[in-house]
Amino acid sequence: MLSRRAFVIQSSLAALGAGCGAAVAPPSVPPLSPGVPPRPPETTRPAPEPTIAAILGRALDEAKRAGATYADARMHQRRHENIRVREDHVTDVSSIETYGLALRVLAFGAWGFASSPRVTEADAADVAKRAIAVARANSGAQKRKIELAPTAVVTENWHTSMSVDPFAVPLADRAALLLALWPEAKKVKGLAFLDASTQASDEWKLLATSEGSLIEQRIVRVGADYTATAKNDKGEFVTRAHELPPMQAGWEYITGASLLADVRKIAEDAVEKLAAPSVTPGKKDLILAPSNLWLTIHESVGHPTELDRALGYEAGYAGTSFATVDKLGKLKYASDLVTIVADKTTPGGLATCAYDDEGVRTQEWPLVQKGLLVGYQTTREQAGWIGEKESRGTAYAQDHEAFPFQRMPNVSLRPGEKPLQLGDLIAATDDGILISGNGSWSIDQQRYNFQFGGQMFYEVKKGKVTRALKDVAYQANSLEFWKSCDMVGGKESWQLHGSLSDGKGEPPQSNAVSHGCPPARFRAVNIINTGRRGAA
Amino acid sequence: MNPAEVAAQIVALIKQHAPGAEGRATVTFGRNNETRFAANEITTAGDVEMTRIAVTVARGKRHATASHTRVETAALSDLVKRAATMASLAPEDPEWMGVLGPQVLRTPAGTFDAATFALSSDVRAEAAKKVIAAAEGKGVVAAGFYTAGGATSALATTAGLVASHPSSEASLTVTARSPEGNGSGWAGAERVAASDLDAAALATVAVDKAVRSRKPAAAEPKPWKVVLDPACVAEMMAFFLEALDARRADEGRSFFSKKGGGTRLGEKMFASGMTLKGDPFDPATPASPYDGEGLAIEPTTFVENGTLRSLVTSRFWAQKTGTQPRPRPSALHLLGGEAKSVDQLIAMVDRGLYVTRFWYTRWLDPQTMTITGLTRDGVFLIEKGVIKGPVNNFRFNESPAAVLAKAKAWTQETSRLPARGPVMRVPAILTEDFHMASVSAAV
Repeated sequence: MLSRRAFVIQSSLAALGAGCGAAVAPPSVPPLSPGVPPRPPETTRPAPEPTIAAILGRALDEAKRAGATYADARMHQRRHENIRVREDHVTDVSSIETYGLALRVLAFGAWGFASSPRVTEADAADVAKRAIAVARANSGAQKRKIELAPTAVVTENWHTSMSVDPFAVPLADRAALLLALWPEAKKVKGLAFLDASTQASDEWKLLATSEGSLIEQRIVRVGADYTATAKNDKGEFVTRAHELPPMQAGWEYITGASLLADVRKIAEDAVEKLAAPSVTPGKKDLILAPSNLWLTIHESVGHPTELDRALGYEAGYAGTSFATVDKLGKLKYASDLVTIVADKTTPGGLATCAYDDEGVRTQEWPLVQKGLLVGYQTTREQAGWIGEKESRGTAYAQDHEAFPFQRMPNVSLRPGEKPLQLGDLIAATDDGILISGNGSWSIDQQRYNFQFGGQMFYEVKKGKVTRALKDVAYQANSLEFWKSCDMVGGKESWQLHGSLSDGKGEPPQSNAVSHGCPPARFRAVNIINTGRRGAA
Repeated sequence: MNPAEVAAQIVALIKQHAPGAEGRATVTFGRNNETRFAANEITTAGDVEMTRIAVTVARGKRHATASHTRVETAALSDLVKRAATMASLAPEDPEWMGVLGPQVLRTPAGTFDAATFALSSDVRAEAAKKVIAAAEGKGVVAAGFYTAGGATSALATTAGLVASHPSSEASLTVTARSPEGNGSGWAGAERVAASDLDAAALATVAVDKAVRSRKPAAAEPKPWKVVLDPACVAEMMAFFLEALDARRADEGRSFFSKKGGGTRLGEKMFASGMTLKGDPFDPATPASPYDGEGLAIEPTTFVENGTLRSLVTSRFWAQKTGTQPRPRPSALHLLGGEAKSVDQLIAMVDRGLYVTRFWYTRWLDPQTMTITGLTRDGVFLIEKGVIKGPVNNFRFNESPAAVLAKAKAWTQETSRLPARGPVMRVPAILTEDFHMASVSAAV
């Protein structure tokens, strides 16, 4: 256990907060998850506790001595263990770990950042020197004064609630779970291939700010997926992927899922899809299962409401946003049925944690309230840009080599008030298409025009699913699409899906994020056929 | 210690901790120094020192790979033990081919520039300020990214393979937008040496496009004759490379599969004169002379005068099919054609579009090699050989293979663009029937 007292005594942290807004008193925070304190695994624990404290303190002290008005130092360890199998054999077993020291400074009115893979006091001093040099070089090229919204000073630890640490499960057991799939899948005639994988990631970080906060967190995420490929004698093939969402959880989530129970059905789906007729393009009513809709929420609501993006700070890469700040509180984004909230607190959510990477307590807040644009995702630097007093707590850095910046929290569609299920949406639809799972997706850099595929597509006629279809994608304008939403499933039909990797920034950083939603219906959406182009 | 010494030390540790096992060490030490700017100001920047140490250990056909970032001897021992433990737990992989022994490796010239490796924050900040000043001078808003750095990577195996490769890279991208958000332009370049990056010239191109693309007129989605800038071609070629795989072709999963089985090797599939090479020794595309396993990358012609000549073939697939292994290329060069300039391509078009950049490209259908994506940062209507003015952006659904098949002309000069994956040089291409599927309101 890290000795926090030793740490705070060793470093003159608290005096360093000048110029970035006075620290406010800590609010009464809800109890954190009970259990043992988070720790990096024994075998990889980098240094004894007093050393860790001395290193972070040294980085902050050196930064302050060299002129920093604010600094945060982060020890950050990431571990990933992935297993891939193909049919009856393992193709890849990998363990990837990164560990190092990151220091961000605000000095001479500019940001500076440096990192090192070596975590010693000497390196801490060197990192401080380099981060200050970066800030000095950038000084004077800022248009607006960098001011950080105040946040509470806390000493806290937090970790993922789980019963089985995935890293403690033998690799052979994890592989066996995947290898059990093929004997079942191959019973389905027409099935050619089965690719499967599991992922486990462990993110441990210790953040110390010049204002005096010290926060240790451990976040564990797991996933498992497989893709069945069916092939016919004409050489045509289609794939069908399983839709188990990745989750912030222990291995019990994977063993408790119905991977094996579902594999015959997934294989049969692939064969059925291959033989299915190609879709006739045109406007149709669209019923989206949660396994498809989550990604549409991510792309058409999650990204447009990133404040840096809306203000042009991501113009060089990811792009800008149609949801510009002059539209806050005015833009009719969706039908009245639609309320979309951001949070980093949903249990199991991939972006869920207690504090963000600038030490701000996480929270939940609305982005779209009954169809109206009402909120943005912010950091301490950004809160003031839209006149807010405090950060929403969305700063994130993927590893010790990365600068923390605004990253998407979990963004979820609230269930409707009526207790509707997917079957009710189908029963109410005269001529439509039902889509589940994620296929190809693409959206423009201002998030106006998108095109999404799926895994399975079914024709819906007169309230009934009639047959499978293939080559389906839906193409729409984000606002027209959300305004056409006329049915939203109830609480019982709400599911949490998500992605372990969402890219943003330069150099690109990966962020894990969840999106919860019920099934929903959208009227008269443009359906295209994706199978008719490209023959050379 | 340098990466080669660390790699040798790891090989010794494998022999010590996992006697009888085979193994491979890959060690990379590098730096990435970056400066970001947006809204005409410098935003974030960093000075990042990097290490990557990967160890693969195999016992028979059981193998596993572990990597971390720590160079201390104790940490290296831990890593070797972890990989060895993982390998013994891993089920057998019938496709495991063992680690490679000594390779005959030539050294490509000009892959590393020491000044770029050590480029200071001041140089990057000055370049960013130059771009910002150019943008402000024309009343537009600049955003961009300057990254400079490099790495030395070394690879060693228990079978006696030793390889090492130094590289440096500097790239600068500039996006310029009109303050009203109705015009946008982009420029970017990647070089081995930062001194070969011309920030002012890139700023001029991006700013000019931003100014010229303002207030786009309406143009309809339909198949168009298009002139594609090198940025578009490079983006498409990444998909083309992914499809250039022998196993996928043999298994019937790709565009290069022959109906009824086999591959389309030897078939004339693309426009006459179209040639795609992968040559790390070509001074135009200096790159690593070996792949991730240490297998030597020989100069390869993938497409020769329109005919498919080679497919990437893994060691396992080569053994299974009785062919030669052919590693994924570290460099790709779509050779230049006859046209003297992009303007000359434009002059050949009676009515068409000049497209300067693609965005958010994704697979739609591997069997037809169809991808979807959007245009971005300036689309211009061409009439009677001259640019008439800007038009709206589009979503397209199109096949890179069809673009190469229907190419009418392409520029002599090829450009090296910032790209993930291999070093890539491509020309601008004039092609037909490019399928714009719908209008995109984004600018």
